[in-house]
Amino acid sequence: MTAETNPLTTTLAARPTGKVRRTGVTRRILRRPGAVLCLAWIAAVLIGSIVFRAFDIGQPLKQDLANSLKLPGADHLLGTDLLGRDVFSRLLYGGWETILGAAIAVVIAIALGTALGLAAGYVGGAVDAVANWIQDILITLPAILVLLAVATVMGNNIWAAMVVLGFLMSASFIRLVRASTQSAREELYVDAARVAGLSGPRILARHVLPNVIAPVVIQGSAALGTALVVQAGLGFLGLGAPPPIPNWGGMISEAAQAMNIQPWLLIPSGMMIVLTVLALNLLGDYLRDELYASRSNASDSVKTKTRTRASRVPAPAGDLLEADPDALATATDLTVSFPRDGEMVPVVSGVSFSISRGDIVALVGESGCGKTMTALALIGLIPKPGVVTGDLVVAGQRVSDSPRSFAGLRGSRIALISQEPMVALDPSFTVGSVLREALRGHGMRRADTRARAAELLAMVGIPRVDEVLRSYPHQLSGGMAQRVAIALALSGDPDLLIADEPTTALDVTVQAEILDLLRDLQQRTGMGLLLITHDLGVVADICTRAIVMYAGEIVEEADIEPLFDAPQHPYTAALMASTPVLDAVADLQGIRGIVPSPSDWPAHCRFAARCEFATEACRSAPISLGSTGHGHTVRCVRAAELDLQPPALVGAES
Amino acid sequence: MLVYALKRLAYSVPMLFGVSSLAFLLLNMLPSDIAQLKAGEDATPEIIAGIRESMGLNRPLHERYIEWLGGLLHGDLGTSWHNGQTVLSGILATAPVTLSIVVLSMLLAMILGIPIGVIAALRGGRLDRALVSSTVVALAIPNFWLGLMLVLAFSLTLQWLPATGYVPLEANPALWLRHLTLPVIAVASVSVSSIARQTRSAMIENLSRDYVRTLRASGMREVSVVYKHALRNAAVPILTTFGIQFVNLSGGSIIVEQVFAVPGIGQFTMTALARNDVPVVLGILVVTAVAVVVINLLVDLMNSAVNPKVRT
Repeated sequence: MTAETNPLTTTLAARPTGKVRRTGVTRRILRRPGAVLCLAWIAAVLIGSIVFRAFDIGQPLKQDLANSLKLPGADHLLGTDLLGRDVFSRLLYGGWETILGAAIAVVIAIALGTALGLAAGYVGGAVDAVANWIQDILITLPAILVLLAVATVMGNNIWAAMVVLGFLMSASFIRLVRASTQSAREELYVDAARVAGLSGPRILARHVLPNVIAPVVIQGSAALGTALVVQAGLGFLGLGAPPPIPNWGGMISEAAQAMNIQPWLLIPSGMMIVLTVLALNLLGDYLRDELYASRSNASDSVKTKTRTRASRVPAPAGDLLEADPDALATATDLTVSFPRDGEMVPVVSGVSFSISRGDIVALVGESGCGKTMTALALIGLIPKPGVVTGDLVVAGQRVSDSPRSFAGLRGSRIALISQEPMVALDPSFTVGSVLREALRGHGMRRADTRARAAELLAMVGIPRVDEVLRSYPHQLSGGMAQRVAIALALSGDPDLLIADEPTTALDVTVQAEILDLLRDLQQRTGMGLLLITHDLGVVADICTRAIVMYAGEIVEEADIEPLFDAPQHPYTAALMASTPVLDAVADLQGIRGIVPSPSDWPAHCRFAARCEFATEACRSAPISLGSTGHGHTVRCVRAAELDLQPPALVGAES
Repeated sequence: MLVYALKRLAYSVPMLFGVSSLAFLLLNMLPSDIAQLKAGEDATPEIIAGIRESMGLNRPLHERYIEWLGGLLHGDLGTSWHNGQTVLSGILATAPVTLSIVVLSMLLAMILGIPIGVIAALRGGRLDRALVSSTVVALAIPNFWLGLMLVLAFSLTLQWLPATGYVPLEANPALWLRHLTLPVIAVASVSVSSIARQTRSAMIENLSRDYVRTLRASGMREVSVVYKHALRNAAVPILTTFGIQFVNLSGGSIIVEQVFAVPGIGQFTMTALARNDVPVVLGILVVTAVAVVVINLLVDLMNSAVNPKVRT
């Protein structure tokens, strides 16, 4: 039986409430002019109402029939009503009842909702079920109807109505607090506290409650707006303090009686409600923005004007590629940037490479090195607001940043399979319907699509093809879903297939099957394959060439044998060293440190901070990609002098 | 599917029982002397006792509750204290008016809200900000005040549409629609905004999902990716809000009916309120609850039709 449920707040309840940045929220809020304006308005109305009520300023109850229905003027700031009373002072005088009523409702709603929500979220089980049931019941009836029913029994008693409204509105807080409590409960420190033997109530008070306060305050602000509208609605229907005491809804009702003669009268009371509710809702939005700033990442402020088409900056001499007429895809000085804190930060910078028919190229590197972004740029699927610059030629066609330029290429010349097969397929459609739609998109007659879809599934090694065609993605296993995704990618006979860590999310046994399938398909069709992976064993096993990326740039590129025989870049060597040799996982030595985040990339060698061979020269200037002959390139000033030992990996493979 | 429907139906029964009981207890246990209220300030104790007697208020609560529940199971909502009419007949006479407003508002909210949300999600930038800002403002406008402003503009000033009154659909569909246009706009405004916001966030969320990338990568046309695939998946959260919207629109109609003097459930409630006619108000609460529970049931069944995960 909740009030006109405020969607501003309902979206909030669904939001997971894990990490909340709490530091200096007040200060940051006060730096936003809109938020300050909202606060100022709310404060002005609140203080005005208290002062006007306490001191009876402006004689809000005094009739002056000679001066009725006056427009705003020097004597009466907002004009006068039907009985010649000053509208401005009546608005503030009446604000008291309206605001206090709404506040009572919200305080009750928060107290009750928090208590029930905490219990439901913390205890779970039957308590949770009961709280859920109560909440479902409370949102079943329109609040206004319940309040009118209460008034039928209680007579004109606005305070009783507001108390009941508080009960009804507690539903949204039950849900919110329950969700927050559950997530806080999952957090490690609560487990730790439980182990340390703190009692339930103390854990709730000390560890869970603080996490719940932020979302409750945000929702409370919007709930106050909702309560205010309900309260005004009751006033409009004639409930509330008896005349001549004003309230906002009642003033609208009085104005309506005179709207034929003096329509102006509708404006002050109506706008008072609109502006106050708006201020409360917006304040809730601002609070949420600030508390969850990391999520919304106020980065959209970057002027999208920088989104020019691929700028044809000539690539630096060292990074130039020999033109290859057989190339399926050629990237030159490819850069992908995302806005962050008001500037464009590159996540892939100046990457150049080329893939030809029959190539199986590995793109390796740790997470966060820009491998996926490079691949997505190749197929024109960099998510907004990312920007791609550089020169990109796919299937002999120069493509730009505009989505249209990939229209005839995707699916038929270049295709993609991604990491998580379980979320990579549309959950609402059967495998068959998506495959057939894709086939029709590639120009096949509708009648032929059914047989071809079955053929594709058979080709990727799916047994019981008919059953799978009728299945929805959630009915498939991970390996099966990945096979379907591969079939979909192959539906347009692409020349180049990008496989973005196609096995990471799968069981170990299935991983090998999928890799075998990819290699097999590549051999059968002769297509190019760009395989993104961090498994160097796989690279050594099936690839012809490898590109090693670190922190957004290529640090080494070579054919497989020379690369594994003699890695030239310390990062490549370190990657190889940290790869488990067959099953000897025991002595796994990782690379110390982590990949720096894009905004922290240094101007000099980006690996220097983690490199055991780094010298002054590494930290003084940008390092360019240099050739060491036979198509082997490396971005390291000490490449020539270092003798990096290849790990046992390749030896074990062969 | 059938199993799901039955399970869902089984959940509706305790819901209905809970809401009806809550309504009964709320109206019978509030600290108030209804007989005193009805009799007026200066009634003698004898008169008050007489009223209490005639309404059966002197019988114990549990007895009245069980009797009322029993009646409810037979579709008997009791009789009005005021004129002895059955509550059900009063509701049946007024409900079509309110339902007209609610159904038309729901349609308007869908027809406007879903496209607005989709456009805002797809276009982004300035248009998105403008649309989102309008929904924020629309959510802050009380429906009854909006109704009055509409009357001011379209009835009093432009004289395009009637300011008050109602013509039943079966009597004259054109006039029915003319009379309902302004009330429906006033009632639907908030729902248009919430559905637009819901659609926008669901579309933005779905368009950033992996499956959309897969579809795009496989060369599917953007029109199909957006309107067939993403919108279909976004439909689930949008549909889910319809139950809440139905509750909001019913509540909105009850107030807005007063602005336009439309003889629906709102007016029936207000008349009963003025006469302290408890059985009528209780009956309205129960019937509304039944309607909401049924709508929620239908929404969930629709959801299961759209979302294969629920079905299987």
